Amino acid sequence: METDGMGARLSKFKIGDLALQSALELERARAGEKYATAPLHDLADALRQTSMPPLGNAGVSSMRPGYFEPLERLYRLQSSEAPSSFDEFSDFIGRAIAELDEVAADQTMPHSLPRLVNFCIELHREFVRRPTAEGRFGKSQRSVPVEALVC
Amino acid sequence: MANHNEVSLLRLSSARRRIDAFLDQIDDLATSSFPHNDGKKALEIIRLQFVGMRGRLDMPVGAAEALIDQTCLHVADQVSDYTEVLGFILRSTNVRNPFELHFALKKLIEHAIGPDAKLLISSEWAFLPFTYPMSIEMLPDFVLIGSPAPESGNVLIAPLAGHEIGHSAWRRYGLFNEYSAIVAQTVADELAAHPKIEEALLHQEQLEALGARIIRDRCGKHAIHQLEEVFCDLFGLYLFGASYIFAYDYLLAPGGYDRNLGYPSDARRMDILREAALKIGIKIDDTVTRRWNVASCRAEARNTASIVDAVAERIVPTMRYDLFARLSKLHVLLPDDKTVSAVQSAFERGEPYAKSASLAEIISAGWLYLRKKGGMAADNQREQYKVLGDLMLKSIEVAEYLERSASDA
Repeated sequence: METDGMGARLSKFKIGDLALQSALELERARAGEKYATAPLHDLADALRQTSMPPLGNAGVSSMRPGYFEPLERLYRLQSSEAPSSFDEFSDFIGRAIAELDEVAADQTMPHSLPRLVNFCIELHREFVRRPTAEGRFGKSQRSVPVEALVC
Repeated sequence: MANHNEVSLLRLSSARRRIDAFLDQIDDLATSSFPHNDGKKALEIIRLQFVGMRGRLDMPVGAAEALIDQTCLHVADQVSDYTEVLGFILRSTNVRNPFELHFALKKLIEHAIGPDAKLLISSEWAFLPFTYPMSIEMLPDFVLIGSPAPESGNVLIAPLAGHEIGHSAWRRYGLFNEYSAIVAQTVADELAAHPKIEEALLHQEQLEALGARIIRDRCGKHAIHQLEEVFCDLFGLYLFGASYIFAYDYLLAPGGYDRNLGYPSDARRMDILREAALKIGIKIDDTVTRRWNVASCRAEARNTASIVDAVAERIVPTMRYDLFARLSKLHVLLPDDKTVSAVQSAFERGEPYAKSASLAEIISAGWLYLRKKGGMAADNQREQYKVLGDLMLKSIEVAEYLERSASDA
């Protein structure tokens, strides 16, 4: 049987789900409760494999088609404005990955923890986008769009 | 008036009760009589996932309201989607389903996808050709094949399952990853070669600073969806030969309607299938593949469509070559013309085929026989059409018996 690594099976849904799990673990950490680092580590890895913009001129991008637009919307939600340059956007993603790595590895809480929790919740919203709430009544399609499940 | 903590408590309790009711439903279904183990296995996996999801509702004190609400929404969506899947699993136990296909299809899937692949055959109360539910996140090793309920016993449309198996293969082979970079680069090349289109798109969408990247991203997203759909068509063609095209024609001809950019136009899909059939020596009826409508594209989508189609067009030949090479390496056999003729001769004698033949060969022979008889839809042919279905199913059973006997020996 042919299988590629974790990246082969990553979908937007899977990444969104990891993001929601990560938000929960970060909140548990903030409350001083026992928390798991695996979702944070997996989310950082998943973002590296699918959503990493090129860093600097020689950087290699892993950004999958269809991933930039929702991440750019996420930037705007968190910063209240659109990124003025691609470098700004790249820094934003790179910083989130670094912070996830930091909490997963050192189990230390960065000052930006509330922002990181918010990043994870918004990432889930963006990657597992669904029809409007009104659409739940008279539902004619899956709650989670098929697109999120397969790419 | 309730305070925020009370609202959080209520929402979390509702989500827990929703999951509990869902788990009770699974436990009820598990007592059903399953013709194959895969249905039961699917229920076990889904159950485990929902038990895990329930644990995620144990929020720490003072958890952000946004996290509580988003988690509750997530639960609602999952219960909603997997309720449909439970219905599918329940219907898979219905005796109206063609269980005779299970052995042959499962073997095909194990061959093409992997030995751990699992299969559920069921029916849908929608006249959709095997489009639901594609790859399901909780059941990545399962192929779910559903035919429209009125057609649940119609073996002739079984080849469309090839397209559905293709979606599982696309994921299992890791092709989204494999084609991401090449799609991104090809989109950039096409836009660079057509600056006026890029300019028009930027103007039309009124995008901000990174607008050009958003245009690229959108084109790339549609292009990779198109590639997946084409991949699935080619996969179905390789597995089922000409019968894939006949089955496709039965449910979807003559195509047309509004264009969805995630798919090539219907007419183009047929061109791609015709070209591919030629490459691997599958004989097809040109008139069937050429008489298709071109789906119309909304005016505002035309510029995007021109880039997306050009990108897919450039990548399809390589993808087709790689897929056929991969299937050949996996020893997935193309239908053999001589065997198809032999099976057809048996049907003409009113007998099932008594030797070993593949599912694709039996169904291809069925289609050829049906076409030779002018479609078998006249009032005085209804019985004959029913007999053809029985002959195909019996031939499939004979092939299964011969194969099982050979492996026992």
